[in-house]
Amino acid sequence: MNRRALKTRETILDTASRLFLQFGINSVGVDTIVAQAGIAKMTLYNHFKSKDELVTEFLEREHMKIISGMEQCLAGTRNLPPANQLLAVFENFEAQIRRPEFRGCAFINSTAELSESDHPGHEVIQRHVATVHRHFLELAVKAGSPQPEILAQSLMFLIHGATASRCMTNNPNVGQMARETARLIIQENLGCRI
Amino acid sequence: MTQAVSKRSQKTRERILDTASRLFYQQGIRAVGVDMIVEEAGIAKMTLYNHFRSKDELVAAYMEGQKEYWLNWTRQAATGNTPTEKILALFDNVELLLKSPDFRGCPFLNGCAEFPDTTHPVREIMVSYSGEIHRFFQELARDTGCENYESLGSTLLYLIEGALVFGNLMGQTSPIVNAREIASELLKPYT
Repeated sequence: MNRRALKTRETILDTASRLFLQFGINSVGVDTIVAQAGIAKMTLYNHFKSKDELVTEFLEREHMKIISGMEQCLAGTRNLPPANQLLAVFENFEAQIRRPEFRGCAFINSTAELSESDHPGHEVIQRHVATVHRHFLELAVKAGSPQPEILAQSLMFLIHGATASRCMTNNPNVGQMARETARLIIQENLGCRI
Repeated sequence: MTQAVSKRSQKTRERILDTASRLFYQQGIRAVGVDMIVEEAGIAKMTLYNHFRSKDELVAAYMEGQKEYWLNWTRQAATGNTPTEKILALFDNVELLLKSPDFRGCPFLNGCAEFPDTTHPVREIMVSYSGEIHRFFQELARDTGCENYESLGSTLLYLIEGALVFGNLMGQTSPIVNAREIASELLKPYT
């Protein structure tokens, strides 16, 4: 793909992502995307075979964005004990969901909207969740947890439950409670104070 | 309006709402148009608009109905002789829910996904529902005798909601079983 084509593709994806996050996947049609991106409909279809493919690419990008944020957070705290790194992930999470423009987790929201079980987006969603889980598990093992899988799963439940609560209550302080709960869960599992 | 007519009118309203509710939950609110609802309910479009001025009004009635249903469901699902038994029974009942072929996730969270604008009036119903559920969990936690019951209540709610969401994302029921184990461990000092 030449540079200009690549740039067009990026413009389409940027526009679609912004609209999907702001209004939801099903509320945003291809017509709105092309109008906002200032391109012809044909151009969109030259890059993406269908809206399903566009949605899948949007999820792929969200996946990379969130995971690279998480990995940056872990790299920035690599000198800390693994237990504190786990807590740092929740501090990062707290900052993310506190933003007033937070419109929910792209993966949870898409699961709600993609009612067809064979939509290719589901594979990205599951891969994303599995990646976060793997990071938690690796840190739990490194921290010397006697039950690393239990710790990783507890933190997965917590992060999803808190995200759900943030969406439903619209309360920006949910992340703070989640972080403190994470601290208690980690301490309980590892038998130490952090 | 005579009594017979008003009763019939009430029945029609219920039929519209039942049909819309089933379609909204199964296919998503945005994906279901008024045309699909009137066709499925076997009524004229005008009849729908006589009962609900707009789709938004129908959506609000759907969410209100869900709120009443799930608050009742939660109270009834918390069966047992002790607070701990009641809490664990909730996990067991959510597991059954996840196994049901009709399960398509939490209707309130799905509604938030479809109405991301937090100032939309329908979002008030989600806020009110989660406030009541939160209170219910804190009451259960308080009944265990736990001193820091507010924190315990929130933790239990995050666990159950998180396992439900996580299970739904992965298409698995094992998370809720594991969440029950974790909850049972947390509740051990108060059993």
